[in-house]
Amino acid sequence: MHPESHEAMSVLFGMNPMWVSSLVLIATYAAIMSEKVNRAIVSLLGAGIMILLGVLNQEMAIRGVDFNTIALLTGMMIIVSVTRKCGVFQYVAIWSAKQVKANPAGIMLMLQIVTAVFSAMLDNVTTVLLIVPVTMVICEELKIRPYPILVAEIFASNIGGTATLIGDPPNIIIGSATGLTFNDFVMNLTPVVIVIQIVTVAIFHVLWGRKLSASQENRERVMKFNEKEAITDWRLLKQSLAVIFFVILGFILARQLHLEPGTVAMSGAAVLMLLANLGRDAETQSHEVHHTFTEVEWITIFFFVGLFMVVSGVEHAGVLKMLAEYLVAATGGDLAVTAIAILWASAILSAIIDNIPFVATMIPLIKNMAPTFGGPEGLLPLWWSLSLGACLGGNGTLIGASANLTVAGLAERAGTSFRFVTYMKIAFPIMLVSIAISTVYVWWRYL
Amino acid sequence: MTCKHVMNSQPPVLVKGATVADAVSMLRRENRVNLPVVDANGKYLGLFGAHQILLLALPKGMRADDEQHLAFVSDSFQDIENRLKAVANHPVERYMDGDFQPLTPDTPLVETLRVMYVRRDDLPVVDPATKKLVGIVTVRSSLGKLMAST
Repeated sequence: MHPESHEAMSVLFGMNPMWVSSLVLIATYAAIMSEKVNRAIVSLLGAGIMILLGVLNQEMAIRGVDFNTIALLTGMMIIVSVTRKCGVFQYVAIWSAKQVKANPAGIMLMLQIVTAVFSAMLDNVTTVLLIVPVTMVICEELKIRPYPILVAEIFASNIGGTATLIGDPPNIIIGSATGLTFNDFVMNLTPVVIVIQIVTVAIFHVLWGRKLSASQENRERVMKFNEKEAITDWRLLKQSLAVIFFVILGFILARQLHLEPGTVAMSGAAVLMLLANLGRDAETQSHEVHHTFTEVEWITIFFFVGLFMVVSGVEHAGVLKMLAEYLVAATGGDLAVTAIAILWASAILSAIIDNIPFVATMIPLIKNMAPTFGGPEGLLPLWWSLSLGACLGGNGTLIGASANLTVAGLAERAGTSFRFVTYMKIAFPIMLVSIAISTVYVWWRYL
Repeated sequence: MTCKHVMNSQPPVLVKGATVADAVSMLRRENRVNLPVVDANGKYLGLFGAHQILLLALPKGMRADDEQHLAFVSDSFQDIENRLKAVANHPVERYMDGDFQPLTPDTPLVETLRVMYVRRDDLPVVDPATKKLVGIVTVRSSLGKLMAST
């Protein structure tokens, strides 16, 4: 049991805190998976029950929340909310389509690259929200089925997001909990992510891309798109690009500057809002700032807050320490076996359940293994395995990652249907290929 | 005063299965902004009108995100016409707005006017018990009735 736990355990009416906290965690997971109740409501209720039942007191619950993660997510959401208004994402998508002379296979390739790069710098859901509508416009002009390109974009968003600290929520939580920096993620994950993206591009080309064709007349229609017209505010474009540049620089220099990524992102968000509102009267500023804040995904933010408290409850009750001991015993205390087990288990589970609560639960569990593997340094292969498994595993099914469901939802609205089994038949094997590549990489580099 | 005092009780309707082309000709003939869609028993299903037709005239990507700007697209009049021709034989229920919570005959007049102000549309009036369409309130006729009494 956690040393602090005696503070709260006295109000449990004699119930075993390990059982109580485990039941709350399982109930929270089940309710999130059922999708009957919004996940933010579920996690906040779970947190409230942990406190009401005395597993945690209020101070412990607040301490359980990783405010660096919350600040990083919120800050980046604000930056994207302001930036998207200038039309830069449409510009890049159209520009890239024209670079390949509107050849459908080339467009499929370019949009995967664009999606992967944007996803590495921004949230995956945001990226697909910006790329999918313009993809649908391009496909309609070419008179080609958008489905193959949209599936390829789902993969690119999840693969690209794996490359950096800020690309995917599991990485944000792992980085914040372990002190691994933006540069650590780039040095350790970006190389393998590039390989995985190249292989995935090749698979999609063989599977679909080479069969896509459009008439010269329809390609001409895309070539007539004027990407400069997509930019609605050149001043805002320059301001946004400058702020994003300095925010990324801040992430790179975070360790030397003794700054947490959350501070960098939130400061960048404040500076961008300041620049975007310079010269406006107070009422307009209020309106604009209010609008920007409404575009923050508060469901995700409050989901994280509640989830951190729930996980903190099971951690304080000693459940995760016990599970860590079981896992170490099952793998015989062998680092290689443990790393590969975490990689594959994370991938398979992340294809089925939400990877965010899974990773949030795994972090304290893995930290508890430090004594077995020679301290925090010895855990590095496990963190990279967890990240690769959790982020890439999301590609396996339509419910594996939020970005997948977002693409499916947008496509359905525009008349392209996504079916769970149809998607999984294609996606799951390709996801397994990415995990196989990750296995070779982790083995070769760390074990 | 309630909604029933300003509603038209026998509005033109589109019956489920009517095509987009049918709807366009009825909208023009009746000089309406939109029309209620009902099933064979008169049960209210949704609204179909100018707003839905404009969306059908735009690239499909617009349906995925209606906030995206399309200034970069240089479609001709013919392209837009072709887009509408492609859906002319589709049933209206595929594209109608089925989300709007209709007014009832007992909705207070001020609330009726407020909803019209917010929606900027003609609105269906539905019996809450039977779910059948009982009328429609239009901006033009309600203002006409209200101005006539002043």
